[in-house]
Amino acid sequence: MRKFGARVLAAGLLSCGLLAACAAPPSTVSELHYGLTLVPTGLDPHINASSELGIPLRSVYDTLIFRDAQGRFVPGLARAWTISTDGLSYTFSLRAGVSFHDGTPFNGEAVRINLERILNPETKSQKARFMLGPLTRIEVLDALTVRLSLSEPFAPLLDALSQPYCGMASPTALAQWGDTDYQFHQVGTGPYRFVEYISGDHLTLERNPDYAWGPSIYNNRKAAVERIVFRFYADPATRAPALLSGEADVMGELPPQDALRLQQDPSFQLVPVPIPGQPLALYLNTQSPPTDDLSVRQALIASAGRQAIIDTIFGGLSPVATSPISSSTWGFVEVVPAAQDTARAEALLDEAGWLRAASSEWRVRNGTALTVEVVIPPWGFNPQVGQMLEQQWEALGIRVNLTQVASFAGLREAQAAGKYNLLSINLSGADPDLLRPFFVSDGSYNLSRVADAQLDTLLGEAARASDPAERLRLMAEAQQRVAALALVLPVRDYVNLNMARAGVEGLSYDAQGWFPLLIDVSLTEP
Amino acid sequence: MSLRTFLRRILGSLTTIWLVTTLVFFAIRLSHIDPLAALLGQGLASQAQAAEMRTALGLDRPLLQQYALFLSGLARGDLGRSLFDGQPVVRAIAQSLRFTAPLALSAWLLAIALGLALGSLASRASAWEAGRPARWLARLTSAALVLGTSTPVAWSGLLILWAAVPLLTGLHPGPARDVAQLALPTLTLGIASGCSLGRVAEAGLSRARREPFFIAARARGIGPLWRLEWSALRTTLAPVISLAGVEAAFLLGGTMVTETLFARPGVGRLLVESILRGDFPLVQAIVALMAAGYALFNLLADVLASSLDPRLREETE
Amino acid sequence: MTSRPSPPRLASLMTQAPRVRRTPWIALAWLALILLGGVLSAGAALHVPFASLAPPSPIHPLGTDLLGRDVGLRLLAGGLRTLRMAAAATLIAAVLGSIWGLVAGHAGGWLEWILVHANDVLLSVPGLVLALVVIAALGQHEATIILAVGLGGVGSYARLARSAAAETSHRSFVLAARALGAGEVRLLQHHVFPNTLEALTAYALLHFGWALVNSASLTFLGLGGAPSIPDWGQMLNESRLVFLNAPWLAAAPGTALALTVLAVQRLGEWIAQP
Repeated sequence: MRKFGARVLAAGLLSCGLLAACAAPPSTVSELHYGLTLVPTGLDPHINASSELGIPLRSVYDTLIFRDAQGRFVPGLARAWTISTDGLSYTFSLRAGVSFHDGTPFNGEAVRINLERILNPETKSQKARFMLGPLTRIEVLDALTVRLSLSEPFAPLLDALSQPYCGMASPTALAQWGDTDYQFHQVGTGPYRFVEYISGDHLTLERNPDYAWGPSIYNNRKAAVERIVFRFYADPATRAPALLSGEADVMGELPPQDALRLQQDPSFQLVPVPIPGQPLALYLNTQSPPTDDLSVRQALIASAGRQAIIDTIFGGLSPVATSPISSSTWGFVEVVPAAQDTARAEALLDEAGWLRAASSEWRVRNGTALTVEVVIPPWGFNPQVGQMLEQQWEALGIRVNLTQVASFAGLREAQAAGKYNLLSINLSGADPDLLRPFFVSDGSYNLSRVADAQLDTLLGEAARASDPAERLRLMAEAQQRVAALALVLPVRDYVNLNMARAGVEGLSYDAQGWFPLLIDVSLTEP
Repeated sequence: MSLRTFLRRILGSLTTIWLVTTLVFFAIRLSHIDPLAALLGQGLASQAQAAEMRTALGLDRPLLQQYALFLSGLARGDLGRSLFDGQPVVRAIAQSLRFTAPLALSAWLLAIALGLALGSLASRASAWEAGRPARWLARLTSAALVLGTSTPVAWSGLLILWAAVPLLTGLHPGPARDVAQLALPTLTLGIASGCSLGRVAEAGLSRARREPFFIAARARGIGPLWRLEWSALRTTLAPVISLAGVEAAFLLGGTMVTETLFARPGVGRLLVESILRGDFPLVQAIVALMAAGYALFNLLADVLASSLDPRLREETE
Repeated sequence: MTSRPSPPRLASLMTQAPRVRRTPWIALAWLALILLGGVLSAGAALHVPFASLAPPSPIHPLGTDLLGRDVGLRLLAGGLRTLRMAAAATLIAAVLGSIWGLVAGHAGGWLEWILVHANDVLLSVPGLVLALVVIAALGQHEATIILAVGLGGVGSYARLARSAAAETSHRSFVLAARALGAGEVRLLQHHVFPNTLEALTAYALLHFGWALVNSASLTFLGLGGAPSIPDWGQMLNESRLVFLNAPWLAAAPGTALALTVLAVQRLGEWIAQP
């Protein structure tokens, strides 16, 4: 039996050796291997919500408009647009002579079909639908003109239309494949064609040779890399090995320690990209004691040593977050000071009646110890951040119960139960309107359980204001109000640590932070 | 095994599968996990929109009605669609099986080969005719087997992953790389499973060595040793085979950790993600599949065992 | 290898026990170290931060982790927690499984049929999957992990208990007691159970190792719910993210786990010997 086993093993090794000897020589087609992280539950940009899908699809679809690095909107599939004075009507003049990868011409009718697909409740769109807000009607005025009508003014609409989730897909393909199968046969107008997607395994894109135009944010007219293959590396611990073994040329969301290490290796280059949206932050529950007391909330925020957290856990590769939105988001103002102030925190707690007792290591008031319940998700180093905050707060005499949930659903469950004092959720997006569901009284992410008339008004008006200067003013006031009410403890701005092989050139990302502009990428060695 | 027993076992297995599926059906629906939470994860839906979605997915109907719908669908052969990407459950599972099946099969074969080889080696610890060094090697192997069963797959997998980095460097994409990428998780799972099989084989073989027939044969110089061990193994094959059967079912489903580590979108990983997201149709289908697999492999193992070991055959009535 | 042994040795061989009955000193010493160390380190300041990711040195024999905490101290504290969880899970499995199996084996008839099939249902689901479903249903705490691992072990326990009970129930002393008018419950309690106790206890020790690995696997997956309380599975998980920079972090909890299981197995074998 033993000899038999040995024979099988030997045969196996021999065949492996033979295969290695006959290994395919390096491909002459220039090919880039891009490492994605989480496997998205679905890849349809109109339906699914993950940021992962935007990474390849940004280059498969063009959008009506694009957003540049300064946050301005530039023409895309729409040459020009006008907005009515009441903010209820947007008219787009479309670019002529553009066709989809399958030959279908792009025109106003295509825009109508795409937007109506997103709005249709049967499509069950998880993100795009809500990004479009109060959009109600799309009219095709002529072959190259469309008018969008809203039920009320909605300032974030242009930003929504600039994202791949509202990318323009070929009506022929949409009709042919239907809602469930379209994600495997996607057709857009962009610089790369969609070749295939094997769920959870890989996604392949090929250069579109007929791409004849491009928005001003693209440097190249034509893509340099012929093929791009995306693979998934859900487990953060597997990303550095993949880079080191040459399996991936570009890898996103590298853990900070690995990034620091690989940065010192000349055969790799770090491409850090700040992601607009919300920083890693904890929301304080204003309805659950002891955080129902403003002084306690202020003390918790003041005593958090955020720079120390960033230096230890994130290798100093992120800035300290100083607002409920990150510093790379349009409309950001600094409202929460970055420095730690334990003296002030101690004073606040003493004034609130939470005094240090000789009998216990915790602060006590009326016989009860000062205890806070903290709920965190398992990703993004949240557990480590939570543990460091615990250390820092325990030094102040605050007892911390740290609970970790396993999934996003777990976070929402904790939110609904309401027994937490601090909870961590964060979303990304270039438009500060994403704060609205967090701080309005009926918002679906109102983790602070706040019902403040001022915030409701400010955020509501900011969503309707069409004048950018007015919006900036309103958003600044809203952020200041949030800080005054001590509703959020912002920890660090999210910086996506992309690592690329030294031979990859021109790698840059769009205004949303997540999505690479693949048309500009070239390889110096195939 | 008689035909009647065989058919009775099949019926029993079907009942078991049905019971398991029903239990899981109610267990996950009664849990706090709300599929909508993950579905609308990055979305900014309001409460009204969330309620709309809940109705569209049929999640607001009473539990028993949902169960009845599920059963009627099952009778038609329709296992439903995933709550997340709307893909038919059958297709999602079939796609993930493409990744799990080759891994499970090769890991299982490796486990059997390794288990029998190491188990035989380890059983020599009590061999009276072996020299001292052979006995020490045997004891070491025995300890290694226990070490193998007690090491979490997640840890050994990580070590293997890192050890393989220098081997994989410079290997161009192609058949060679695909083989290498299958080899790593196969090794991880195969070693873990093989050690557990090995311990059973070791126990059986040490017992067999003390049997009169074995001692007599060795004393008479009958060999080679491996052929004698094979005949001894036949007497103790039953527990080995039944364990191999269980391991097969385990490998099919319990590969979740390995699949995450080595980035393979297989059934195990799909199951965990589905449970955490509350994707009920997928969870039910996968658990039912595992129960079926377990029952099937157990049955096959029993059939094989009784054919190999006459003592296990039933007496004809 | 083929020399013939002399006849007297032959006879004694057939009755010889497989292993010499040596006290497993090393295994006992290791377990004592883990338990004692765990108890002694209970009051230690586990959270005090030193330099982050420091390699092993005289001050920190096992180095420090990402947050600068001494790995050795966390290992000892974590050991106690992991052992406690495994022990509780084994107890649950043993008690529930024994009752289930004993009743089934002793009762016979339709009751046995139902219990055996219910047991098969439980066994049909792989342990880890069952644990996940339980945790999904009941939430993530240490208590649910203990319950989940315990339930996962009930099945095989029940099988063992059933065959042991079935065998004992047919022995003459039980039949005699029944003939003398003893009730079923009394029979179970006073006659069947004590005679199966030895087999069940022996299995419990062997099963403990399995429970140890499984509860560590679940905390490894991040399902333990309380990240600040050290635990070997969790320490293993944390070590993965910094493997490139600090490979020694993975060595400590993994080796400790493996050695502890080894020690418990050895202990179990020693106690189980007749």
